Amino acid sequence: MQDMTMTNNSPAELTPPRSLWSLGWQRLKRDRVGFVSLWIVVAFLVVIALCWTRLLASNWGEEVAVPYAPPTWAKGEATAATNGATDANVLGGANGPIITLTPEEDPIGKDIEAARADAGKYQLKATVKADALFMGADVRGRSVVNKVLAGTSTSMLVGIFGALLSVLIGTCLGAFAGYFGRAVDDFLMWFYSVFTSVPDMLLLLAFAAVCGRGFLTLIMVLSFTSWTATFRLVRAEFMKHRSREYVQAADAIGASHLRRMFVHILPNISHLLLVQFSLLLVSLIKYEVILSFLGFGVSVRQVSWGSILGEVPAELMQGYWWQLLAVVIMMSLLVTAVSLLTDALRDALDPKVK
Amino acid sequence: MFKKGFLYLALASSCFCPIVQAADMSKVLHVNYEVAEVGFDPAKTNDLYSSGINENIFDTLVTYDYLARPVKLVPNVIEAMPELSADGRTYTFHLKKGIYFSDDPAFKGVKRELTAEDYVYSLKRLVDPVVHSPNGYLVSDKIVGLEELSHAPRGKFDYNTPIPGLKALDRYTLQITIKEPNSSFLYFLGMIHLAAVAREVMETYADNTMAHPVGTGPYVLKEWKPANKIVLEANPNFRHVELESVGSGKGLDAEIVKDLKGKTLPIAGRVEVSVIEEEQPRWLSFINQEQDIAFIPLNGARKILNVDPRNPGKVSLKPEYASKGIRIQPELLPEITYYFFNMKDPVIGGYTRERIALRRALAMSFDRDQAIRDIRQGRAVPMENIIPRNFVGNNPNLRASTPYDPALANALLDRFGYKIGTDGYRTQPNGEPLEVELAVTPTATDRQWSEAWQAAFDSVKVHLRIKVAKWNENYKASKEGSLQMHGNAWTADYPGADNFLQLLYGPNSGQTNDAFFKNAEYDRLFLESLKLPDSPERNAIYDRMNKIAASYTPWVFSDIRIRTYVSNAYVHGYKQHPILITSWRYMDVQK
Repeated sequence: MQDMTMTNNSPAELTPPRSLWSLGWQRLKRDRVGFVSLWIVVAFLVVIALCWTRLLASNWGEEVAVPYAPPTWAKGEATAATNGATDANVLGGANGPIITLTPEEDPIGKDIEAARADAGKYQLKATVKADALFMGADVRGRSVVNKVLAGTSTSMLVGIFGALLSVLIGTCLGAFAGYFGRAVDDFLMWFYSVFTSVPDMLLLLAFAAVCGRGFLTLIMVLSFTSWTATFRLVRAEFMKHRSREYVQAADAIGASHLRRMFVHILPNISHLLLVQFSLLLVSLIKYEVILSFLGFGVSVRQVSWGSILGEVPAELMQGYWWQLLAVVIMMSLLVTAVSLLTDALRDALDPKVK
Repeated sequence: MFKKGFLYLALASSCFCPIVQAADMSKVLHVNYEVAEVGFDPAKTNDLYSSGINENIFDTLVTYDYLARPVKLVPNVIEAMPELSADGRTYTFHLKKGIYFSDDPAFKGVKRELTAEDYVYSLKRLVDPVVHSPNGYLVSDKIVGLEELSHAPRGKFDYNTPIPGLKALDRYTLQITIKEPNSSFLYFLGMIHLAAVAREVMETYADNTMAHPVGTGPYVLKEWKPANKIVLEANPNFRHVELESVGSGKGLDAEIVKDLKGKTLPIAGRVEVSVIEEEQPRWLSFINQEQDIAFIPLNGARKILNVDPRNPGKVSLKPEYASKGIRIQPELLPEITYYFFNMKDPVIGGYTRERIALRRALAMSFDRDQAIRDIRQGRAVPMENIIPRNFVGNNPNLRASTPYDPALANALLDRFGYKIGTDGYRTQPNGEPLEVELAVTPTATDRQWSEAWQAAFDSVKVHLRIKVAKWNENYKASKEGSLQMHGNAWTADYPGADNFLQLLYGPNSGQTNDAFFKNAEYDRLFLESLKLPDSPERNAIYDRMNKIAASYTPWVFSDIRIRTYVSNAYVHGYKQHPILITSWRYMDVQK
């Protein structure tokens, strides 16, 4: 017996066994478009890592320029808002001395007079605001470059973690449904039908309205509504695999159900999950944009592509196009790169293609 | 002989009341609404858009002078302004004779004249439980006997029950008695909800009065595609009316007086109203001369107008629009906008000095000038008085808002023991955490206001939590008193200062007083001011009420928006009225 294996193994040592993954990597390297896309996605990942560790764009909220400062390279094209502060008096009508609440009439008048002496230490230094920035500024005079980088990091993190959680939920439920079948399958399919019977957008808005705003809520909301496709896929795969010989063999050597499901079957469908993950990543980034655009997205302290795009319609009517341009460049770059990469991965990891 | 005589008589009578069909049916006015109408029963609707149509179909006892500013009430279907009894409670109106309703099958082919009984019926109708009018509050607690009538058991409401406050003394004489003297009561009678409807019509079409408006006004409803298109045509039975207003006698007023001289109203024979909800298409449609009048969209102000940075009221059109002959009318909206604090709230509310200091500091931290410049795009002025500018009772010298001073706000909070904790944010004086929740709607504009408030709270180191919910959810929560802080706008129902001052009147808590503000002196002054006519005495009371509001800071005074109305070159006779919704009867198109 031992000899047999020895003899069987020896030719394999000459041509080392190649897993699906290493084959896939070889094929991906040959696909030039896919490979370039991979590097673009990696570059985006580096950006979000830097933003997350606060090395980049952590100061996006600072008001560094005048409102709607134009990009430096398009300075002549649009002028920033220069309307000064207004006073009610300018409309005419005031004809005597200005009357205000006197300290005697004010219940906290004495305290205000006393506090006035200590106000000095809170006095802010006047800062010089820039007239133009590389990609311009938004309504509050924040740099569009920093804002879009911070937005990229938020949108991608929401996409990545949302897609991960979504794949996790879909895989677990799909594995149970497909592997055990019968009542478990019936119950989970019923659960699945309930979710798919409601239109996606409606479900998203309903969850968002209940859960409030913020980063974590967004991830939860997005994954709770998007796990269904993964569920169907994984369920079908598990149904196919559960009666295969290698699973029966595992059963014969006494592997538990969970071990058979997640140690034996799961690795055999992992390439599908990777493709599913990339598909979800793109669609969740888009959903995040829609939700934030509708005002149910990230909170006021955070910025995402969607919240930036929410500001755009009003800006375009006034002729301020630079925020739109910056977001469009980043968003189309990432979404295209991830989509192309997904295509390439699907081709590369398809065991039928040699 | 007898027959012949009858014929002569008929001829003669038709000469006595000539029905002048002056309107030129070939002239069509194209106007638009940004929100869909509800229906055309003046008692049942209270939205601006339905009321705008009703204004042209029905007649109120009194109306507004078209050109006079500040606004002024003038007789409409009455001979002269009503006589007021010495105790200030009884008004007597003498109706003009020969005013007829437009023809309708409900009148069975007979010309139906407007009588005092029609107003008695129409006012009673506002409190009829079956009608379920949202406007009943205007009259029910004011006219003597009306409230008792409204409490009649279900199905027992009888229009023939005489009530002491509402009498038709004869065919053309109407007498109204109110419980307390009220300087704003005549303004109520100018509201379209109190217009005359005919009892026969209401009873004939009882199940669908919204779609069968029959009135004595200049136009009749010709076609109605709900939420899409409304077509009005000149009412052939409309009495002979010419422009009597003279206004200021210069500028636009003089031009309108000259243009309309000797012309019978309405001038255009047909009015087509389209509902266009989106700003951009509405504006483009106006530029293409598919619409005769419009207003400049908020976000378009900088593209369309040159604004004088020192004076937002002084604007001119950019050359590409001015060259088309488009004309503009910048007008302050009859409104105030403010953020209120809930005075019942355990953290932000209350009348102790430390709570006043907290609200005052938050008010001081908000940079209103910046918000007007950036969010309102310079198309607003700061609100300085609870009574809007250009309203009787507004003291233009008064500044009741809290001046912007974040440094002083910080020092004030320090003084009252709102200490800065380890996380860099302040706690309550008793050491408990301090956080304030601002309720906003999920719109792009509200996100800008949220960001401005976030910056304000950060500058005084107070935690802010932002709650996003639909407008109607916030509205409901604000009436229940479960919001801490929320932004509101109030538009005038009528041009009386009390319409605004009631927003802080204690007994209105949970209705219009969203701040749940209660102050005995304020409430007393409010009731006192109602009884007084326009006088220096009343103005002094108004100033004092403003100062009370400034002392306790239940509101952060925000701004009053400026809306710039525009009309195409071929439109004549157009001037936007601050209270009347439409100017259609005065408008002429000469293409």
